[in-house]
Amino acid sequence: MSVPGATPVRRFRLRRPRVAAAWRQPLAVIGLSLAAAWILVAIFAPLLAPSDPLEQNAAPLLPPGGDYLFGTDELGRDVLSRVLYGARISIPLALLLVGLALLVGATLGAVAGYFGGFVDSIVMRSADLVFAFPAIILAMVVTAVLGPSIRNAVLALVIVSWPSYARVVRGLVLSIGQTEYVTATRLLGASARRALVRDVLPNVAGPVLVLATLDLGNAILLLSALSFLGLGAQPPQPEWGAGVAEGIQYFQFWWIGTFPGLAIFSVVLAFNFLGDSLRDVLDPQSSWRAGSEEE
Amino acid sequence: MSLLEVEELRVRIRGERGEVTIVDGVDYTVEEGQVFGVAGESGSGKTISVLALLQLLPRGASTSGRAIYGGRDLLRLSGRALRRVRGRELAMVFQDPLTSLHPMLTIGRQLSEHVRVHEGASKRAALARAAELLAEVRIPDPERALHAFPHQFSGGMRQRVAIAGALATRPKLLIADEPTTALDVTVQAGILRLLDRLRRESGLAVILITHDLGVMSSIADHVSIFYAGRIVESGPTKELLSTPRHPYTRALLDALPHPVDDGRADLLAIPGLPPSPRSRPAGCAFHPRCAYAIDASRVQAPPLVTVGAARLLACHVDPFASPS
Amino acid sequence: MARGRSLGALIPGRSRTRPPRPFLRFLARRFVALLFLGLGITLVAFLLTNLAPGDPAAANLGQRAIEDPAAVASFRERYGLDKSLPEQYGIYVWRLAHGDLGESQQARLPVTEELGTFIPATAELALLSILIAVVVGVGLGILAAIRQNRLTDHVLRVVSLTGVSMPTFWLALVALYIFFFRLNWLPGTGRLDPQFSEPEHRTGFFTIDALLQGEWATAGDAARHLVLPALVLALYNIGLLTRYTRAAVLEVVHNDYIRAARAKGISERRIVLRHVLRAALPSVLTVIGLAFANVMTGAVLVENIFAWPGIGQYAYRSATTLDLPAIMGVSLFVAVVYIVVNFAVDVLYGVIDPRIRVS
Repeated sequence: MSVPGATPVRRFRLRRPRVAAAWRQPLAVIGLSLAAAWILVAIFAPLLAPSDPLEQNAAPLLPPGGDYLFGTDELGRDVLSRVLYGARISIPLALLLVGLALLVGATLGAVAGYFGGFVDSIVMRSADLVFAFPAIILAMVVTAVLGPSIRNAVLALVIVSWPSYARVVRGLVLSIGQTEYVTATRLLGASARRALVRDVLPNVAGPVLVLATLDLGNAILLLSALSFLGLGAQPPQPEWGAGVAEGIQYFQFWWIGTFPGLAIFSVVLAFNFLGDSLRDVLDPQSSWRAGSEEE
Repeated sequence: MSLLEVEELRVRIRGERGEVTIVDGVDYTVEEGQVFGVAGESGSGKTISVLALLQLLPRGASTSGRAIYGGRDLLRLSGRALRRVRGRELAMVFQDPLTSLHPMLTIGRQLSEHVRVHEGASKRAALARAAELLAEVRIPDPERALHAFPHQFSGGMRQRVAIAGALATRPKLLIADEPTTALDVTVQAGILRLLDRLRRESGLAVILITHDLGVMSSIADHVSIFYAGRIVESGPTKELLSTPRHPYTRALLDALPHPVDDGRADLLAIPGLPPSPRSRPAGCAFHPRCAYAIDASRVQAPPLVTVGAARLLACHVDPFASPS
Repeated sequence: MARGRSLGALIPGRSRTRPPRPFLRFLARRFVALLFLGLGITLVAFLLTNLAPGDPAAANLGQRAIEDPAAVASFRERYGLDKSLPEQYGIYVWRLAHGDLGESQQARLPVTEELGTFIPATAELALLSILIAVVVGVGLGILAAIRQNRLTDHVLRVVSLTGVSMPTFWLALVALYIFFFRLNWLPGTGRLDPQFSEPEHRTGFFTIDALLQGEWATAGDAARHLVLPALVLALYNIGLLTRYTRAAVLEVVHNDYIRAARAKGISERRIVLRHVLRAALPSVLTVIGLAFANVMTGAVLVENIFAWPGIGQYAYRSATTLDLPAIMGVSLFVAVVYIVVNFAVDVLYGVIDPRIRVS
């Protein structure tokens, strides 16, 4: 005998992603500008760089300042030019690597979540196996086995990165698959594939986009770590991780390693700022601002 | 002098879309040993108005007005003085006993911590007291229950434990926010009997919030009806429920299924929805749903005025005024 | 509930001393699953290293020996490379079951023996680093949560993101340059300065071993050598723990039972430390489990830079020389760490959360 209209059940307010909200966040703006700046650097490196990154045309080990803003390395190459050209290696490769990992992981995850059963256990047990190894150790073994090269480093990192996408997508597919509208679509006679493509995939796009943006940072970190270990980019490529490794060799000449490292740091920071802000907008449950709104 | 006097209580909450007034000027008094009922639909501000008394509002809320208890204004307390009032003099029981007890701490620990914080008792003495409290709220085998965790009890038992916790330091006033809503009807009756007994035995005053007028009629001495952040009518329970004067109270009562009805009669639901705090109508907030509204209702909010012995009403029209 | 809802049936005695069956069964299931995972890992490690196009003989024999067919053949026979793959795997697992990981091709020593010397060095570094990360990260996470949406919180968000964006190897370089090369406050590489001799092996942790033997100077030197690499390794995990602790605390703070604790007049400090943290612990624990994996990743880089004679350096050396038994040994060790950490996390869940323990 309770009062009608007095619903004790809490009402859920459907929250639509508010993209505009991202602009009110300084982190998003900083991240986006920094990332955009680096992408422009990658595109226009030949115009921006004062000299050829491979050319040994200056005195070696010149400190920063004067004609060489970031100094020169042990072979007399311009560190600034090498850093600028480095963007042409790390950024496109990170995009490629994340794209491939996303494609492989999301496909496997969606298939596993949708069909379940045997397919599901095969995919998820493989993911567990990959998770059991720290990324770099597995990647290190794979590149060592395939032979050290930047291409193999990318391949190795795709192998270690797909499972997180598979897990997320599988989880989302499972939860969305049980919601009424998907069930309703299927009852209306839509085919399984149609339901997957039309109803399920658009709903997983947000969280996956967040994951991918944050993963771009990780990809650059791991890729440069492999190059740092000598398992990725090979000399004389102006790769950043390899640059830091040179810096360790010529330890006293701090500028050789510091600037490429700073480049890695700033790019990764940009993607992490961006991904974290995106998470606020697209994936409020796990965001930094989670719980900030109370009724 | 009354136990608690609330005057002109207003609560505003700052949200993403500006400030919203949830409670819009509320006055009432609670006497010792009285069960003071607060009724209204969800969103009427009844919960917020009592959370304000203990300063338990979410961040971003601001309060104005006064709430005089024992010569002090509860809304202005802070630090140690606030903590002494909370739990020691005023206690609170929440709606859902499944979430109002810490899931990972034993019952004994949760009850004894409360006793120890306020009375500085030894661990052993506090545990003994906790066992007494459990016995008092009729938990079977209290000694054993001390070592149990909340999830090992049913909802009704958990609500008893929560009440035991609230009563640990013999408060003078208990605020119970929908204490029976989440429970089965039979369990409900047990909890209400328990509250009634405590009131009779120890002179405990209770502010009972519920949207359930049935619960209200069985235990409350006095009822205030909340609508859109204000009190629209209040008075002694029996009188108010038998001769409601406000159209809203009337509609609430009409909407109750009649006990002797065979269920064929249609429920007289109130047309429309209660207004959201973000968009309360001007004038009397009930006017869009009210069949008796006049021009004045749309323009000016009616003041809460005395309309009889201990009866207050806020209505320009007063369509159900007794002819006498 | 077949026996009805009597309270006695619902309370399984003193659950702390005698954990009821369901949790044990859960643990047993998890353990078996993890064992299978371990077996899977041996297969992956085996296949990875054996399907390699690279030739271990070429990688490990000198230029002259590689041109001598007899030398190559004897190398292959010695490491079982002349047998079929399933046979090799069978032999590998069989030996593994007997605690035999084979002999490394580089040093010609049993892999178990090599692991035995490298593991303590990494363990000392990694455990210290995780300890630092947990203390700092959890502390900052709580701070961010209780200062939610205020300046401190915003600053900590940037700090946390900076932590996870910093390339470990670069941080190591910068730290070495500043604190060793420029300021000379801390030693650069290795576990001990040359004038100290290694303390007698008890735990393999130099600091502890030296203390046990009363060699204060050695212990101090070992501790000073630990500072930089441990801090560098900790930074990423500090960022991670700050973020997840904050989220976990916020999730708990909005619960009714915290509001109820507040309504009882319990002090804010006590609420955070006793009530909130307790409820947030399972989530934090999960991230601490993750921190172990991150520390292994970091160790490969940091150990190489700081010349720290541990598993990370060993893994790197084995991978670049295609030393198959050594690579498999490292993989297995890493996988065992993963399994043990995960299992420990599961057990701790049950200890912390009574709902898991009984249901």
